[in-house]
Parts: sequence; structure tokens; C-alpha cells
Amino acid sequence: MAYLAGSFATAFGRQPGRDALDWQATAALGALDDSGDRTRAVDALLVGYATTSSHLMPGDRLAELLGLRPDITFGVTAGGASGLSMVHTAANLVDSGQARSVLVVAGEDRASGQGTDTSVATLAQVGHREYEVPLGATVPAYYALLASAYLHRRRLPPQALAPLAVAMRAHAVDHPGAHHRTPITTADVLASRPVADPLRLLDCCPVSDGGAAFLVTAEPTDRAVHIAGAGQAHRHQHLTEADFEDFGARRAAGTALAAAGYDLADMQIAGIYDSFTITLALLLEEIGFSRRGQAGADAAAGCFARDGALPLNTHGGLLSYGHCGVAGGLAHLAEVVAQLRGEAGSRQCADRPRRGFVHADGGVMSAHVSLVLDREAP
Amino acid sequence: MTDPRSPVADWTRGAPELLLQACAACGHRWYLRRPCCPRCRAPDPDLHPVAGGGRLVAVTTVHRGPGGVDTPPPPYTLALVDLDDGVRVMARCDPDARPGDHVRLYFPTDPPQPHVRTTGL
Repeated sequence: MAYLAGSFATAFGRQPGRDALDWQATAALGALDDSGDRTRAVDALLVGYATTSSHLMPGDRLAELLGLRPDITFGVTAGGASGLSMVHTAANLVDSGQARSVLVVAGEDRASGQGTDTSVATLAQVGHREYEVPLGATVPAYYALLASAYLHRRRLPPQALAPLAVAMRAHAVDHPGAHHRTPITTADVLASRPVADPLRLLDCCPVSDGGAAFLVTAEPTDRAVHIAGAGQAHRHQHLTEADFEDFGARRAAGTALAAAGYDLADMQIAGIYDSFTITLALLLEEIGFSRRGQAGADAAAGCFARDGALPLNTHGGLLSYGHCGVAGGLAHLAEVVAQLRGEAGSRQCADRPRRGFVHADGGVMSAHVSLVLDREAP
Repeated sequence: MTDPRSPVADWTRGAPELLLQACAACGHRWYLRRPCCPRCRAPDPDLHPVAGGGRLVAVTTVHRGPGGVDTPPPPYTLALVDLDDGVRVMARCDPDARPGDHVRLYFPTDPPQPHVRTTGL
């Protein structure tokens, strides 16, 4: 049994003055403090990559900085899935008996540490170096192609995805740490600058600075959340090779739910990767939270609101809380943990959830990791 | 640098050609270059030219590009195309193309890049 005994995400936004290592240290100390004891020993340290700092030994570097001497440490690189992938590995280390406490860390000055053109060009490299990138493809372009295919296949108008962006922003309004907190409407989304048709600026997450970290332990504490199940799937890297009806999300989710002994309908709250509105729609629908073609309509109907059938990304998601790299997908986990603990403040779901689901994807719907969490009532 | 006139050269190596790979052992066909068949891992896959016809799966006009000297300034339009030969490829296309259109491959630029244009069919 593995538990999340420490959980911490920084505010995300344009916050110059810290580099990637600074954000990692801040997040790591935040998680240790949240666990109740920053002096505790840590047996293993996992650190996500940062595009602004390609150090060959990020684990050893951070361990030295913080005065940790883990028996196990290494860096993890799996695109946007890295964060949850590290939590999965941490749970495995605890379950195998090789570690009793594992610190999972991510942090990056993605907004302040490099220009936007550099960010766009760097991230475009998840595409195929010879057969896709030279055509001028960017990450928004890959997801825009997914959106084009989706709208055509499901016979939906271009405005079908906008309610997802609106819902995410409505949640971020109530989180003081969110990058963007001004409410938006569907009209605002449809009037925002085109990035890659049909995706507009408000269909896309911002680039942010920030970090997140977790302490995974063998022993529960009074605020710990249980990692009930985990699953992954990796079917392709490049968009050209993706199976649009079966990206791998359903497989990852199925493995996690089976390990936890739950059905999808048992999930009371979710954190689903939302780099773009289309990402969120495709994941919701493939995993099965929404019927095919219905994710936008479900958002418009309030299904994903705090008081809806499935509270979703109650911190605002990548779309509005922000995206600082590996920590981006971890902020969803921090929020679900806060909700399960009853510590989400003004964002708290009135019926405190006891079972939550978190999913991240890396690349172009390429790498999938699902976690199922639960917490007993007091 | 592979001679663009050699039979293995495609548009990524300067020849105005798009090739697919095929496995003699299991018959599988694919586009992204690999050293072996991704289905059965048999070595030495064959290279075949494509007939050129296909159908658009997705289209996007890019308004913000990755920058850099090798990419023309936006806007430009990208497409995913299911070729009649049974492989999916990424290509440039006209901005008014739509998913579902029947298209044909051509290479109007130098250095060559795959483009598709809508056909009447």
C-alpha cells in the first residue's frame, strides 16, 4: 500500500526570478512540509525533466541541494505524463519494499526561462523529426489536426469545444494560485486569436513558471490519500501513427481501476490532462466519462462544475491554472488530493469526495498514465 | 548524404517522392521509416512508391509557426491524409481543403515537401 502523505503545488504564472532548480527545490520543500516533517529521511527521489535545464543528473543534483541522500534517484522524461509516471513508480518502489518514502518533484521556469518561440520550437520536437516537424508542425498544430478530425467525425461545429475552456476558467477564478483567473465566456473563446484552426488562444493552455511535488510513503498519516491503483499505456509517439479511436487512455484507466477494484462510475472527482480543449474532450470520451462527441456539451450543461455530476479540474486545469511542464500534470493530482482531504477551501466540493481519478498524457496523446485515489471518511 | 537519385531517397532526402515501407513476411505497410516491421519485426522492409491518391482526415491552418529559418512564415495549412495505399501521412495542403476531401499528392516546392490538392472525385 502506498500513500500520498505530502502534496504541494506552487502558484503557476509568469513568475520570473527562479530557475528550474529553484522551482524544484521550492516544490520539494513544500511537499516535505506538507507531510509534517521536512527533516525526514527520503529513500528515493524522482525528478521530472525541464526544457530550460537539460541536466544529465537532475536527481543527484536536487538531492545534494536539499541535503537528501536517497538510495535511489533518477530523472524521468515522458512528456506531459512524466509527473503521474513518477508517482506510479514511487508507488511501485514502496509496494516492492525498496523504499518507505519517495519524493516526486517537478519544476520549471518555462515561461520566464526562455522565449515563447523557443518553447514552441522545443515542444514541436515531440513530432517526427523527418516526416512531421519539417512541414512546420507545432504542438498546437498536432492537436489542431486532432480537433479537425474530431469535429468532422462527430459532426460537431467549431464551437463545440469552447465550453470546456469556459468551465476550466470558472474553476480557476476560485484558486489564488491560478495563472488566469478572469472569467471567460464561449464568445470570448471564439473571438480569441487563432493559433492553429480550429484551436484559438483560449483553447490552448498558457506557458507558466511553477512546480509541484509529492511524498509517497508506505505508512499512512492522518491526512494521507491512498494510491489505490495505477495504469499506463503507450501505443504511438507521432500523430501520424495514432489510432484516433484508441489512443491508450482507456487501457491505462482500465488497468488503474481494476487494480483499485473500482468502476469508472465510482469516481467522484477527476483531474484530466487539458493541454488543449481537444485533449480534454478526447480523454473524457475515450476513458468513458463522456459519451463520444459529448464532452463539450457536458461541460456546457454543468456536469464538470464543483456541484456537478463529476467535478473536474477544480483548480482550473492546465488551461487556466497553467502549464509549467512536468508539474503541469501534477497540479491536477494536488487538487484531487486537496478535495479528498477536504482542504480545497472555497473550491471544496460540498459532498467531500472519497474516490478520485487522475489522468495525464504526454506527446500527442501518446503516453498515458492513470491513478485512482481513495480516502476513507474520518 | 544519400544521393537523391538513389531508389531509397524520398522527400526527406531531397527527392520529390513519398515512399511507404512494406513487410515481405507479414504484408504490413507503414510510412514512418523503421529498420524493421513494427508488427512482426522482420528485418529489411521493402520501399514502395505510393500511387498518390487519398482522403483528408484532418486539416489545420497554422497561424503561429515554430519559427526558425527553415519554415516559411505562417499562415500555412497542414493535413493528415489517408492514402489509398493504406498508410497515413502528414502533408501541406490548400487552406480551403476540408476533412473528407479526395486529394492527390504532388511536390510543388524545392526542396520537395509533400502537398495534396483536392481532386474532383
